Amino acid sequence: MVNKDTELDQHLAAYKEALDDVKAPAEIEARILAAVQSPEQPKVRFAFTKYFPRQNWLPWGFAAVLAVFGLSVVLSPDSAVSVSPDNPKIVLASVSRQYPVRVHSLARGAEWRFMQSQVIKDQRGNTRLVVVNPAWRSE
Amino acid sequence: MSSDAKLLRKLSAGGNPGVAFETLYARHKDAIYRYAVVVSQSSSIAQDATQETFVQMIERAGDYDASRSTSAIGWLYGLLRNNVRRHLRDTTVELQAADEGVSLSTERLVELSSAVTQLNAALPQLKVEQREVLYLVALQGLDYEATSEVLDIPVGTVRSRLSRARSALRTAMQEGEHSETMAVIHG
Repeated sequence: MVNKDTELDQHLAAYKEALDDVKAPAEIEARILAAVQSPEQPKVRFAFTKYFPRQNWLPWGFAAVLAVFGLSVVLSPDSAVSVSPDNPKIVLASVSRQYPVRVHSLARGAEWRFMQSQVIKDQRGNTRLVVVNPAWRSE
Repeated sequence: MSSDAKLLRKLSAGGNPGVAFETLYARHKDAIYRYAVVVSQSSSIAQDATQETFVQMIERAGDYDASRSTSAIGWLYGLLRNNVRRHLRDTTVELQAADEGVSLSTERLVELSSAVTQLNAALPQLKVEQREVLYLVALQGLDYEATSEVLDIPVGTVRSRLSRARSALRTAMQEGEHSETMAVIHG
């Protein structure tokens, strides 16, 4: 009967001696080397994460969105920014989009910030984007 | 003889695993395999888990923190433990473990005392976490701190699990002894 700790320790020591006979099978080593040297190419998504670790996705993604936005305003063939001669409060920009968008004010001296805008059509039927001139100050 | 840390640095440099892998493998393969056998109580799981552990050793050699120890055995045990547990989760081997037990050779079992064969038969009745602690502390001689690092549990938990493991083992061996006695009495 195994009632005492010392007896259990003796049995465990004997068991350990028996366990010394247990060896890793010889074929495991070859399988390991075959698995490591497999010519299989890494999947694209793993290659992607190698160069773009997950912790960088958020700032990279945000920067990409900003870049796309900035380019879309600057490169838009119809975009042109000017201060309305009638109301210096208004910055006019012609854009090809038909919906309200956030734009970056490009007026000279204006502060960089986003502002809500409104798309209107002027008297000649051209689409104009109306935003508040951030450089405007009431006199 | 190069330390594990130096060999792992060579492995992390990439290219052919070569001598660095062979040396590390020869040094630790049996201890790793024995842990897998005792904890999983399945030689097939033990082989798969051992293979996966050494593949991970090659692929993650750069992750090894040499400042913790020059011997990588603790780190390898940690990798192995996750692999064994994943296999146990994915299969119903625990139900089979009572029959399969540890694959000691028949000749060796005959040489050993009946109490050792009872211990061999009792191990499958312990929980996985109990076998883990029992192997590392009682069979491999790791101290509580090293065991707590391998298993990623507090030192106090190591002590309590070991105590429960020993108690469960004693109970299982006594029950096994009783069953044998009854079998002898009733023929």
